[in-house]
Amino acid sequence: MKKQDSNRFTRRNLIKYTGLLGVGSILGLKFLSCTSPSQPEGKKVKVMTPDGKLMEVNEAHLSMAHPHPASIEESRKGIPGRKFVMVVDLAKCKNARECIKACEHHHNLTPDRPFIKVLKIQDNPRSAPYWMPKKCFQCDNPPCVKVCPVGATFKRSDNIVLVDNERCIGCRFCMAACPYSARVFNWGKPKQSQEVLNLKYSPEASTPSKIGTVEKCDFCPDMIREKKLPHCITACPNGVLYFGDANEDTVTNGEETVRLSKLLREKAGYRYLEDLGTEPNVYYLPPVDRLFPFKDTEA
Amino acid sequence: MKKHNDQVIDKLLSSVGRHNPAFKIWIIALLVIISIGCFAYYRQLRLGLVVTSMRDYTSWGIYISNFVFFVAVSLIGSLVSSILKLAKVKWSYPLTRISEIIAVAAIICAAVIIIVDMGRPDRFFNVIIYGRIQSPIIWDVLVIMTYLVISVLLLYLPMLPDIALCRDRLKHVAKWKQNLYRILALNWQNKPGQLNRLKKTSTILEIMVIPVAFAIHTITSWLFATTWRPGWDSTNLGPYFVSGAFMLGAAVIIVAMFFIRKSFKLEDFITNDHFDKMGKILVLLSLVYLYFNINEYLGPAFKMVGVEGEHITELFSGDYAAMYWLVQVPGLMLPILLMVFKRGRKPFNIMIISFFILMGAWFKRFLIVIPSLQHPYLPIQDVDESYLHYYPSWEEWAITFASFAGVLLIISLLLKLFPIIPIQEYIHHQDKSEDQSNEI
Amino acid sequence: MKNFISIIPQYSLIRNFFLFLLLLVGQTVFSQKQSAEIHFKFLDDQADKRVAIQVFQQGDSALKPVEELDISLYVERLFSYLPVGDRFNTTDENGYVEIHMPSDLPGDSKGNLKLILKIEDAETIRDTIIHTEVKWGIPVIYDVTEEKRSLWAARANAPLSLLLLVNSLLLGVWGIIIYICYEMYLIKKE
Repeated sequence: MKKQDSNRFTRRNLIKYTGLLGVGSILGLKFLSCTSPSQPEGKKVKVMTPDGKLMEVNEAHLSMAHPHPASIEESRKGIPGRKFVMVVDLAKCKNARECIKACEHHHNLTPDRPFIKVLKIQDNPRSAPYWMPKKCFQCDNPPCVKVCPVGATFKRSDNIVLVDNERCIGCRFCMAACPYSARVFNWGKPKQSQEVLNLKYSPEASTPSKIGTVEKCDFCPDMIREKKLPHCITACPNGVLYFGDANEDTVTNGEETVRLSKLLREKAGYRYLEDLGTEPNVYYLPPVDRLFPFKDTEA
Repeated sequence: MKKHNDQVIDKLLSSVGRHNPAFKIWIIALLVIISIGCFAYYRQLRLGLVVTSMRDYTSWGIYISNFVFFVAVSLIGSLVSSILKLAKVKWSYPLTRISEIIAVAAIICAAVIIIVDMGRPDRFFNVIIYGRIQSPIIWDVLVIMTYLVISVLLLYLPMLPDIALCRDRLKHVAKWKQNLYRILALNWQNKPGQLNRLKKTSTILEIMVIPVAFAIHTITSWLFATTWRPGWDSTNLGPYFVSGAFMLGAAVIIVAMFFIRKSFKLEDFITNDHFDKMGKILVLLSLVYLYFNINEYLGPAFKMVGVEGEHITELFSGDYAAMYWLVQVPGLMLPILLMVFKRGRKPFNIMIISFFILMGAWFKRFLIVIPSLQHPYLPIQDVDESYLHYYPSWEEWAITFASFAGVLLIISLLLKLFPIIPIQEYIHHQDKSEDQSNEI
Repeated sequence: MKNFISIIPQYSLIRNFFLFLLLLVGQTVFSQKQSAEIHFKFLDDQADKRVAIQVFQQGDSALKPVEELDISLYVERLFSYLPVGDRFNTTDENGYVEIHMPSDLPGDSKGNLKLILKIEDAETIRDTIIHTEVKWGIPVIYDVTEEKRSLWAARANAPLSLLLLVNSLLLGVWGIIIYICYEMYLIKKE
């Protein structure tokens, strides 16, 4: 198995690194780079974007990964007026696994408890297999939230389902209830550096992890609060993942911004296992006219 | 007449408080098993649930199946001391106390084992502080507490006259025991008013325990039926669990009768006829359970829908086939066949048969919990080898055996502390039948 | 350029050189680019909503319209700008272009849409951004007290029928249990 190389960096470097990469990739967008005049002036820092461009940015943009974690009470409410959705274009996924890495990195996860999985799915023996990135579907009729005895997992007004690992009693009923196997459990003491352990816990950041509690994909509300896209979205090199606010009818994969309704209408978007009635907030676009031939890559 | 009664009382009281080296060894053996379990639990507390073989897909293991098993066992209390009594079955009264004791012991251990299964037992009180009434777990917690209280009352109240006997006649036992009897006897003097109140409250309890007993096991089945898992997503699950529990309960009481009769020399009170009659009841209950079993598997096996079909195939001919057929044939069908014959209901034979039913029932609960979890809607990919199967670790086995030892320990101590056969009721029945014979 | 940057040891040197070059080029370019005068108005004929834009530039003596200029129109969204109109919206000989706006875009609670008008990479005009607002969106009114009673709600919002059922059952059963305890007390007192 591939050894996780993040251990070689210190926490400080990691934060800086993520910040630079994140801002870099956002600034790599044509549009956003033009908004800089409206931003407050500050010390300028030079940043290289992933596609090799060098640019100058305001230092204020290079924020830390978790600057001001929302309090637990705040985390339970959700961001007012928002309804977050994700769209996954199965035609574009080639199992690059960058979303998994970015997620692992941001949430300080070890590979044995991933929030994201890229599954090889073959609907029937005659159809071609395809890669299906799967995270938490943040259902509107969430089985996990229904069964939680203590309200440790909860549904927010902005569609996001979060876990409060300071309340979770570790009964794992939510894991049994989730038909999509979206949840992972800290069976033992999670391996985390002292610096991660010193972070202030917020359900919005899902870190640091705690032994004997459940975790799952959280749509990165800590990023959203800063008007930044979740890490998996920006990490995807193929623009598979779109994210946005359904109230605005807009989703973006970081490069292209489109209307949600139009995208789902034109590409026949569907929700996985619709007939279970869980009403997921993750939509899939069918794997037709694929950008890549299916190659069975080893994980 | 009076003299005969005195002899009976002395005989039935003799088991209480008498020193017995074999009993001491038995208790020590149980304590050893429990302490091994405690050590395993200490390891689990220190290292986390990682010491078990449970992982992200098989997220519930033998703790949960054992919990379901004990909840099922606890249903016998209501079967014998309530349903049979309300049906005016005369022969069953010597079994009431034994069955109530088993019920109380099983429900206590079920509650303990569910705490053992928790990832954060230190946060147990969150269940009370933050309890959400929408969660079936909260329903289960409420009904378990209620059932425990009712079972204790159902054990205690009808025992009042016998405790009074202990208080009045056992002057040689330890001081603390005498005090205990004095307090527990509630100043019982066989006054008519007291007798009236006892009769009234006992009847209320006997009626009330039936819906609560059905509720406890039905709600336990809902822990499974409220999810989308194959094998659990069934409207049949409540009656299926309840009928299985009654069958298991009857089998447990037959095994208990056999050993208690032998070790306390109660052949005069628990007769071969009792085994015969309990055997007939067990046949009936097993047939009901067989019926629900067929209902539970036929539909999905006929349709073979997606993961549900995979799950059924796994049980019928896959990795769990051996266990499945052992549970269904020697654990259910063969016993029914054997118990139909009179020889099959002889004390020793039926004890062995009941033991098979008991083992079958335990593994049946394993088959209900674990294979379902291993067949989620989305394929299990990209995981460590250990996530793909489930073989309980030694810690899990140690804790499971300790829970069994715990049940046996509670039963043994209660049997030693109180008269096993309800004395007052025995005399009452004896007098009645004598009166009847005199009249003739 | 990419090749240069990948040579890591000389990175800072190359960077400085590159920046210097950029500065030089930039100055020469900027000297040729001018600011433009942009007129725009919102046309709303019931079904058809358009943003009409006319771009002028200071000519030798008077303002003259800018022809063949690409203008982009965006609606500001949470994470990014949503492009509206056609793929290319090019001005005609009068420097005029009409960009069609969809009429079914959700706006804020009042129906306001934040628009961004952009001119980029034009030959003679400096990159320009105009922020403006128009009440052309569908007002999205969200209920603040959104938490409804449901099985997945917090415990304070449990369904009334469930609360009623569970509590009446509990009350009934525990009432009887308390009654029995009271009877036990009476037995003791007798």
